[in-house]
Amino acid sequence: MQTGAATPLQDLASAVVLAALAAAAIFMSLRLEVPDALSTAPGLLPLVVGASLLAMSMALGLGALRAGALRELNAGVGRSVAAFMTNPEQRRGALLLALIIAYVLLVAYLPVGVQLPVAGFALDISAYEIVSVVMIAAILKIYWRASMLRCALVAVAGVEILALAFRFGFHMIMPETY
Amino acid sequence: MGIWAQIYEQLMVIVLDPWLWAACLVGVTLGILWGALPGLSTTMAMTLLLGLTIGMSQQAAIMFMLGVYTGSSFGGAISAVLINIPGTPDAVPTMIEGHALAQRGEAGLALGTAISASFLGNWIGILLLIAFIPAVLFFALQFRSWEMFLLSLWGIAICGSMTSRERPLKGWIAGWLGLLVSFVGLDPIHGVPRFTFGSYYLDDGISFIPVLIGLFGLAEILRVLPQESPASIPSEVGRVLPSLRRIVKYSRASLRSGIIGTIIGAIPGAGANVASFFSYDIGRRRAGAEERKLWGKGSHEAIVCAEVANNANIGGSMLPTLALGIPGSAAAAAVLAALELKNIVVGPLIQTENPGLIYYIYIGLIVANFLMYAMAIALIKPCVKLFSLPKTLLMPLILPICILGAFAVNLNYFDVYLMLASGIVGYVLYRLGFPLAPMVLAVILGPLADENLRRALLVFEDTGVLAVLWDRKLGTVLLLIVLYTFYDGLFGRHRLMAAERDG
Repeated sequence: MQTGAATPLQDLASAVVLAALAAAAIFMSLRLEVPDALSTAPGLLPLVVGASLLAMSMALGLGALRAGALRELNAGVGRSVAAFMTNPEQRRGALLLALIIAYVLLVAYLPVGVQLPVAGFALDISAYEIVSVVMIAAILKIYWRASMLRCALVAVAGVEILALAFRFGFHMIMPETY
Repeated sequence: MGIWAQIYEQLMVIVLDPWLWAACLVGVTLGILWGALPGLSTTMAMTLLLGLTIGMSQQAAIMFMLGVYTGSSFGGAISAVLINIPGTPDAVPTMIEGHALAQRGEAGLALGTAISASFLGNWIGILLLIAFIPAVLFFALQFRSWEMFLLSLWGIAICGSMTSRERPLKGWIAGWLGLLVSFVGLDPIHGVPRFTFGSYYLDDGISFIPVLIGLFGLAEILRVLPQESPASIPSEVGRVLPSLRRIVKYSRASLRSGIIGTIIGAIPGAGANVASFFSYDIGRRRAGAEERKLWGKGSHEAIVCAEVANNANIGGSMLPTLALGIPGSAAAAAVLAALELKNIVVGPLIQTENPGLIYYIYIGLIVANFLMYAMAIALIKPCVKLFSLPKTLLMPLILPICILGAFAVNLNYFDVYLMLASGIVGYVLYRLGFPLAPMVLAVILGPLADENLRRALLVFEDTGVLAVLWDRKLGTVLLLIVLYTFYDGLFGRHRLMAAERDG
């Protein structure tokens, strides 16, 4: 994945967050227990990494200020945020993120696994398969924009091929409700 | 029995038994397909497929595992080139170059170059080892704690510089974030919990596989799917195999990358990820001015450098595994486990206790290499057709793979949450212009760097700094290289970019 381009204001915001993170890492490293010599202290490398991250975030922040981050801030950060929020791509992105979070949580918490009797055998269908089919069909409907039937068929085929390969090919259990 | 007689005997064992070829072919095919699934690594493929060897004979089990190893090492390039999600971490450089080519309608040729380079890399690794086993082993064993720490640091620094060309600072920051993530868990020397916030889920540390799947798989879905009409790669496959002229043109780069891959493979713990990034960086520095301009935008030579190195790494990693019983990489550890499952003890006495086994394994690698080449070529066209489907159809289908892949690491749903968090962080970092590859590499190399630095400092406790610099010459050379990498990133890179722009 190639990186996106960041504005000076975004770089400044990144620098502030990174500096806070680095400071937290330094603070937590210093509070770690030192059971033996300082050279083998568990917090040694985290401290060095935290300190150098702090220095790098300051360099990033300074670069952003030099590139005109403050000018951008004065020009109206509210307008930039509003433009960001009304962008249809951002709205679709937010919806997708919500759907993915819901998908992950539903697999974890929705007890919908079933056991079907098929020709004298009990066929387990896990919560993972059921939730995956429903969520993938919904995501396909929104973004692929095909008919509901096609989306459902593609979702069933995709999820079941994967689940069967993992379950019977690699003898792996499926994620279930915990 | 002499060496040649042993080689002949083992060659005949393999050539005359079609079941061994079949076991290897199944292993290669499963390995390629597994490696092609986004985020599912070679190590994971070998660990999960290890169970299938239980019912096999000793010889078939070895052939099968070598097939999986060879196949999955290449397979990572398929999804990297076609959908911009690396199947394995070492395929990240191939992803950067190959996907750019795929978007220009050269997916077939990009994959063909990767296949030929992988084939060549395997050969170079095997031949170099057979010819220089004592020399390679001697050199690899010079890498002690201090050198291993510097090697890890160099890997992250180079990856940061390479993936964030105009702003290496951002690449290094991403690497440093990865290092902080890698420190989570019980520290390896004293068992003190670090950054675990009291959660026992974090005591074992953060596995790099959910992080990789999140950063590259989920973040790519979040980036591509919301677009109004995301561009798919062209479905025309075009020419697949590179011309002989092109192969000859890249022969020097291949040989150089093969040597790098073999030596790094022979260093216990370094692995294919380090090899492919080193080779990629050194390749850019050695490339001609015209070729260097293409680096990062779709260079065939860059693919050759990365793929030759990570495949030469296979042969390299087998050397300490077989000769010392120390796995050269995590995937080689799975081969070791397969051998132990069949009551084969490897180590310095391998030639006495299992005469001919080393040659059997090297001949097996050669067979696996040929089969990988044939299977990969056969799979290119269907793969390009499959991955040229609309991304709005493909990307949602990758989501269940991401969840299953993250879950499969420890059969623990916590890893799925970790994958989700990594995906969101990866998407935000992408939007803010930070490269993601250094972060993944740092999560992998962080524990190696941490443990080795502290061990080295313990060893150096009563020694002065100057004595360390003088006594550990290899370490001093590595230290200078690390410092030069940072210097070059801060000052030299601007000159290079300015020169490229002027050109």
